[in-house]
Amino acid sequence: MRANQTLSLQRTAQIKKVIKMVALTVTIYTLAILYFSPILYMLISGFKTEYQAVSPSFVFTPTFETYKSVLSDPSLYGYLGNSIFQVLASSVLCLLLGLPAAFALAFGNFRKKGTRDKIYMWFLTTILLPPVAVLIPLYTWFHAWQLNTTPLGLLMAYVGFHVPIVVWMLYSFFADVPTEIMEASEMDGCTRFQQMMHIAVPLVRTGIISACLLVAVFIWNEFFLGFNLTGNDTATLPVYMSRFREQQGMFIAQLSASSTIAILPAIVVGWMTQKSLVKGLTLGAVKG
Amino acid sequence: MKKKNDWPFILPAIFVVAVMTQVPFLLTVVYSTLRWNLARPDMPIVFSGIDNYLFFLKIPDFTVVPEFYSIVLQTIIVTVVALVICTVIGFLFSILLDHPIPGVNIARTLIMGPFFVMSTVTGVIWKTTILNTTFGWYGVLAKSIGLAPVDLLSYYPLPVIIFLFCWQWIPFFVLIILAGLQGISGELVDSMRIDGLNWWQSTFRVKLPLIMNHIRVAVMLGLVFIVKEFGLILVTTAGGPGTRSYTLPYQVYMQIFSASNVGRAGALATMTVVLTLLAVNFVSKSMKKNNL
Amino acid sequence: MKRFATKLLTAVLLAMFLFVGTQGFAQTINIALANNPISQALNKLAKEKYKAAGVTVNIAVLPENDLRQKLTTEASTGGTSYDMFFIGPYEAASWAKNGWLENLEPYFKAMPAAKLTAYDRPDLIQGMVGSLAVKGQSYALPFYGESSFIMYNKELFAAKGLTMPAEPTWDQIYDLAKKINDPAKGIVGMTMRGAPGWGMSGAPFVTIVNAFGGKFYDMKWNATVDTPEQRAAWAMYKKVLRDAGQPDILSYTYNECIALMQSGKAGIYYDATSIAPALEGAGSKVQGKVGYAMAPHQKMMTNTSWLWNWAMGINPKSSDAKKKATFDFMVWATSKEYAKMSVDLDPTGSSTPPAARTSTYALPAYSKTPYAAMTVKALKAMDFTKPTIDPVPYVGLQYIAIPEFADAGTQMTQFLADYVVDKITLDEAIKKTNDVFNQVAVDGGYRK
Repeated sequence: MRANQTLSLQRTAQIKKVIKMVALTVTIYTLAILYFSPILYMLISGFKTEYQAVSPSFVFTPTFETYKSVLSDPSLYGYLGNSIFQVLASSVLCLLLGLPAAFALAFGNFRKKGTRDKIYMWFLTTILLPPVAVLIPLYTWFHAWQLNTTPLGLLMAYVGFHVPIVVWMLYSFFADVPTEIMEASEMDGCTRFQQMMHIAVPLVRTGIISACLLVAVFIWNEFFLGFNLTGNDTATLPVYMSRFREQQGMFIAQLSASSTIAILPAIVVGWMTQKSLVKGLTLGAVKG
Repeated sequence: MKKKNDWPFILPAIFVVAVMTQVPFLLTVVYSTLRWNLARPDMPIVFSGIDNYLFFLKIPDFTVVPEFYSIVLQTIIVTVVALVICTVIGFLFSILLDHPIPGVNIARTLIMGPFFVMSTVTGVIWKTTILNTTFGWYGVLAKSIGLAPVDLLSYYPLPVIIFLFCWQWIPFFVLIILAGLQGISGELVDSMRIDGLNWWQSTFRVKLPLIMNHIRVAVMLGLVFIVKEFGLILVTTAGGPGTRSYTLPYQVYMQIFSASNVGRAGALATMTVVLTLLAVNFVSKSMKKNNL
Repeated sequence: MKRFATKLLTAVLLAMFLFVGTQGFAQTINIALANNPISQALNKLAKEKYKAAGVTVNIAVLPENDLRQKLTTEASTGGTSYDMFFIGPYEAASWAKNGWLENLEPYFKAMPAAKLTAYDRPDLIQGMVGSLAVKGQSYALPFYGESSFIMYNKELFAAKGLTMPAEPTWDQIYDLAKKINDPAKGIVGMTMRGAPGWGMSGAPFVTIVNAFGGKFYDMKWNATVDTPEQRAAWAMYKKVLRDAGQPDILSYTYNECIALMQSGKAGIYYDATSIAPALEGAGSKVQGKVGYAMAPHQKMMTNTSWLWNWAMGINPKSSDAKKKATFDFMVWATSKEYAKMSVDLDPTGSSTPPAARTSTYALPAYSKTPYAAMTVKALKAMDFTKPTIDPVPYVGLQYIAIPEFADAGTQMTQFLADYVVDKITLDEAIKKTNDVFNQVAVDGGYRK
């Protein structure tokens, strides 16, 4: 009798567990799909014709017509090229500037006691600076030196604003490296530079990748500086997309297709690198 | 031992950052003391002290709230409400996503998506395909259940902006908080079950305190990025109706590009920075104080 | 590792220089156009048809508010992002005086005689040319001009047995709009611009103020917003939109109004004469079904429409070569050949710049369009030096020709928007607007 009771109790517990799992799965998936649905709708609307896209619906016959016309518009490639250039060039430059700075902050010997903290805090407060605060002088400089007709102007602004993020993330990664390794390499007679490149960098490779990726996503999506500091030649994708806020005849299919092109790289990169991004961000969290 | 000079490693970074951020900011502060209207080159640029600041701060009639204070209040409302919603819902989503259901990675990936979408696309897509009362899902769905769709963008601009901001940033909070939750050791989870803690106790009494650091980072970063937000407002409500959904950065933009008034824009920008720094300081200190 | 870093750095720098360097090989001129139907047509035609040796024309179409803001700040800070300024008489008047527009007379003098004759400057409508000139010297060429009038859906009117008077009053318009308005069937009685901006909702709104006998300043530059006439105008604007207008009031720029009207879902539309071609063009469900009437009057009996043109000027800070290339493009876009080509390609006239050249109206296909006659009538009726019943110290029909109006007018439309959606009362809106205009009179040194 006892054994039977225990068995049926176990089975009830198992059934409860399964029901819980099913309920959870359904809830989670419904939530996820609902949350993502605006983007989903935009992705599929790119495959409609303008007539099909006027009224909202999920039922239609897909066509490549809209993508063909969007992709054959030469101006799109200008904006795309500018965005790609800005992301690649700024990520590299941010790394080139930020990596040594973070390294030196983490392991350097400074004569004065509080210098390290002061410099680190200085970088941090720069992250807090809203771009509006610098817009006017930057705008007037750019015009005086014709910097808004070349991508270099915006590039310098992006680098200036994003190096602190790289420094912040890499500093916490470097802080994780045990000091014994550094001390040992000093005894072996390494120069600072060798220490950085041969020892520290390989150890924080994930951190470097995640810092680069975060900065890349931010710059790809950056709008305020891109909107105000560029001309026709140098405008980036977010600026191009903002022009769709006004009707241009029937344009929803075109809007969807262009939006898809604009966001796909960022989403794909984000998805593929979720884990490293989280690691990078949260290590900073644990250190504070 | 060789004396190591670390400064060459740091100086280039300091130089570039200073030139592109600090120097312009100092200039902005200088400009804020000038009377300088770009559209009136016939009026000379003169030093005007704190006139530009007073223009915004003065209260001529205590029954009417000056524009500036309304906009500061709007900025604070948007920021605080968005942060609270992001934190609470981000936490709840993370709890949900922490379960080992089949294909949980797909669900996580879907929820993560909106964070990577640029704010102008978010704004345009929501405005055109969803919130439009004639051609958008909102309008169509409302009419199908017999309700007359209210134009949310005109009548409830701030809630719409807060909603869209949360939609974009909850994934970021989930990203960080989930990582924190997953960092909680399996042994701890098991021991909680063995001790007979129910779901409420295990989540809020045990897990929550453990991930406070993560929540703090998410809130601080979220605060900084919400205050900066500009593109979303521009493409959805353009600050309207009136100045109902203006935030301080948007107001600065309009002062330069619509009013062509460099002096006033400078004063506004300076005040924005001061307020942001104060806010960040305040949030960080109060979180530390409450052991958050 | 050091070598690797150096290689990387060199590669990046090289790539950057190459990228930047290749920008300068062909002469590129940068143009920004406003997002309206005729300019969109120019964008298309320029891409297909404009060929100039060694010159690439880079055109961006921007939302009108963005365009104005960018160009104004650009011109006032001496920038060179854009080589051609796409502006109207509001900007042209003050920019020419400030030296922000290139004087075009030397360019015309340098034109070969045959080309100059073919261009036929006297053919340009003199009212438009005059609004862009200082002391008889042209600083911009009119691309297209417009006044404003009423467009209405003849079918919807016939279905309800209503007729539109040839010269209606605002009261009559309101009544007609309410009768046509049918939310159950998704029919909007009257659509009008609701999106704030001095050049957006400000345009129809200020003409309503004028029509009701209101004004913005008296001769001593005291702001006169708080008057019964102005209040009546504010109330009428709100009444029309709330009782018979589009539900998404404040999101509607003229682009959204056009789309609504084209879909056959709006009864009446008060806007620019240059919009009529879009309603009669391909893709419009109301092609051939649109009637036209003069801009409504009320207390002021005539001259209650607006005067505007979109014109092309040259950025004086551009290089000489670019200025010449820009001038050539401008001449092409404002030429008789362009007008003829656009009518040949699109006989409905929806790509043809209206109200810029008299000869356009002599083109057989164009003169037969349903809107041509009313447009000419509207153009003849306006006088932008006398916008109001009472004498005023300013000119301009739907704007006030002072540089501060861009900001003051925009603020006014923002308060208007607030009032229309019941966020503030009429008293508050009027008071705020009055204060702004008084402040401008003082700050700008107008009131002595």
